[in-house]
Amino acid sequence: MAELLEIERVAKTFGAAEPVAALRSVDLAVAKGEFVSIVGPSGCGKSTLLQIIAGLIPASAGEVRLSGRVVREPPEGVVYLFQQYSRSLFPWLTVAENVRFGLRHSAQDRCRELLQMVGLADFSARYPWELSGGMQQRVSIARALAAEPSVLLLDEPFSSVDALTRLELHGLILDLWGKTGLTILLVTHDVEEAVYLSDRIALLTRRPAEVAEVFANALPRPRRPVESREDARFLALRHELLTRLLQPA
Amino acid sequence: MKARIASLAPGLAFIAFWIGALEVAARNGWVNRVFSPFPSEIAARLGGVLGSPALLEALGSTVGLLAAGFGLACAAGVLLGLAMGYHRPTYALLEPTLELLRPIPKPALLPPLILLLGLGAPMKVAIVFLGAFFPVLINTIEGVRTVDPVLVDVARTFRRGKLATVFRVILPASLPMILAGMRVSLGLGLILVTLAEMLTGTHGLGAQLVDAQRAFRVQDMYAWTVVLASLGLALALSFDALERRLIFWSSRR
Amino acid sequence: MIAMQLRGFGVVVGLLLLWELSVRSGAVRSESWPAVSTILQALGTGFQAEGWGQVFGSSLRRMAMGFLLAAFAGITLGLLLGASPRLHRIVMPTQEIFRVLPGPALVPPLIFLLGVDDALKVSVIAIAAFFPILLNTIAGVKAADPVHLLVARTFRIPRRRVLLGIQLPSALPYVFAGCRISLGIALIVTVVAEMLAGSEGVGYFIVSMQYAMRAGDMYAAIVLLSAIGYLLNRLFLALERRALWWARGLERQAAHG
Repeated sequence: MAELLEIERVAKTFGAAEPVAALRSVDLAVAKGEFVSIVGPSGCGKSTLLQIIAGLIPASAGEVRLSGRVVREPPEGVVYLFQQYSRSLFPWLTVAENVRFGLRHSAQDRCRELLQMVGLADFSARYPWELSGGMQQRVSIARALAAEPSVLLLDEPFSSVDALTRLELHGLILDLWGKTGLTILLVTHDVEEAVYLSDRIALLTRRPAEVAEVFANALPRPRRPVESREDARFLALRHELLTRLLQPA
Repeated sequence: MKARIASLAPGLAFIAFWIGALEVAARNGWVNRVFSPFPSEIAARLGGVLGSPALLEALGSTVGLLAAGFGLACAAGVLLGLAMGYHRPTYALLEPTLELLRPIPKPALLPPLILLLGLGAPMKVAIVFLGAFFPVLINTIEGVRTVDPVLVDVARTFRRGKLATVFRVILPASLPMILAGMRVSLGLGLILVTLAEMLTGTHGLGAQLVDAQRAFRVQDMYAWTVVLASLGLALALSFDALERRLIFWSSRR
Repeated sequence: MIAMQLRGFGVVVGLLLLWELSVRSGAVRSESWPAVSTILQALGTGFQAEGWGQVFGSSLRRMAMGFLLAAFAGITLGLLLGASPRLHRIVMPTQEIFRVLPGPALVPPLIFLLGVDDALKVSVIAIAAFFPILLNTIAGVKAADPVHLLVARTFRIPRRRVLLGIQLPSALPYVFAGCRISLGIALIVTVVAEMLAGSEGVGYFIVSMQYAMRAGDMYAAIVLLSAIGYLLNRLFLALERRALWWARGLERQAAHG
């Protein structure tokens, strides 16, 4: 399988006077069309890693390559979905205008299509702040897809919505992933979410982080919100990951 | 400190650049040599002004009037603001009157004040007071109203009396807002005292400025403008320093 | 609550009555302390006898010109300086020098450079009104949500579109607040400039009434001026509320959590 995204010995240190090491050396490769999750203890630098991959902040050492090209600036074809969805939408633009922000050409039809895909066709003329949290996150997902990315980077996008909405959004993301052939890299601290959604799961160590181990997920697709979570393979992987995460330092 | 100087360097270089440009333009007669600012000439006049008793007299007069009017305004504004912010009935009683007085452009009150109080110090202190009073009052009311209710509840659970709550909890908690109002007031006060001095033409920096203008001592006039700007800068910087000492905690919450 | 408010208006009426009585009863006998009724009378006759339409009209025209100049320059420069920290660092000390110089002190030098007519007054008004707009616009651009700017970067939005499409709208609440402050300043400075130079407008009228000891007309002009200031502020607030409807929605959302 051809690797689309290669992360090689990426390290990050913050601060000059009293440097704090966030990432020691991270190696990870993601193939085209794969759904990979990164889990790790809180504060281990997961989001930092994702921002380096997105080209938003530079790595202190090592490099990230997308289709063989080194990432220095936000590259074409990569879209980053922020955890703070309500802050990532522009309050002075309507839902449709926010989605059109991601479009290269402001095509009316495409915008409607995208809103339909995320189930918000009737809300195009509303403003983001008139919508619930889950709906706002749907808008930012539609906006992300508008840019026709090949890679979607998700930074704990489901962490600030209620539990049921989270399950709905999981379904939506899996559905869109299946339809578009996207490559998705998800950062999360929710082990169940990682197991439910992804093909492989990279477990990070405490700060300064490295990849402790990459787990292949044998849970069959299509995934079902209730049944999949009762599958023995789901429970086994969850058990393994949680045990490793809760190990004392 | 070093970093501060380094960050100021480009800006100071820019000031040096436009002063240099004015100098070159005046020397070569590209601009009117009599009326345009001529930096080296202004510097020479400034040297004369700095050594003269006129400077101390003018500065003393301006700063004294400003301090009196501003000090009174702060005291009155904070006390009344605390009362109005904390006690609803007081607010309802006084609000219409204050709303009526607030929109009056304060410089327009100079002529009536001159008629009522004459040309001396009381009139100037009064105009500074009137101008400086409202921003302090409004900000104090607003500051008191936006104090975190949790803080007030804390004071209540410790069974502190009302007066203690107002002065030990509400006043310090609203200090950032109050100081922001005072900063505006200080600027307004300087504007109004200068204007009063310009109109009456007797004492102070404003009077010196107008004297120089009327006597066509153009470069002297620029020199006094520099003095006035320096006073403004000194006041602003002192206020910054005071604010940092008083509300060092406010940005850390 | 309504009773309390009524009491507040009662205070206003009471004070005005006291003022009126102080003159009627002969307790205060002074040319410079006219009765309220005299002032109201002067307000009534001012437009016919003194040609106030023209007096106030010329002041408002100057104020509008100065304000518009200030708004244009302040917003444009504020956007540039807010978006470019390097440029801002160069201009900052110069900006501070002019900001701390009290406005009226600008008048004498500018009299030499621009004369005593409209050019002088409009410039003084524009300079004084410029700074709040400039400073607020800079602050507004810098207050743009960092998440918005990151979104723009991940979508590879060109810089100019970021400036006009994200930083400008984010700065708008600040820009409007700055403009409203400046509108008040513009009115004040108009009066100041007219007091100090030339022979036109409200400022000149008030001072000349002071010289002529016609206190009634003087107070009447101040009352009208204050009313105009109040109305302008109200009008601008209404405009602001219409233009910033989304900012209010955002606030509501924040309030409800």
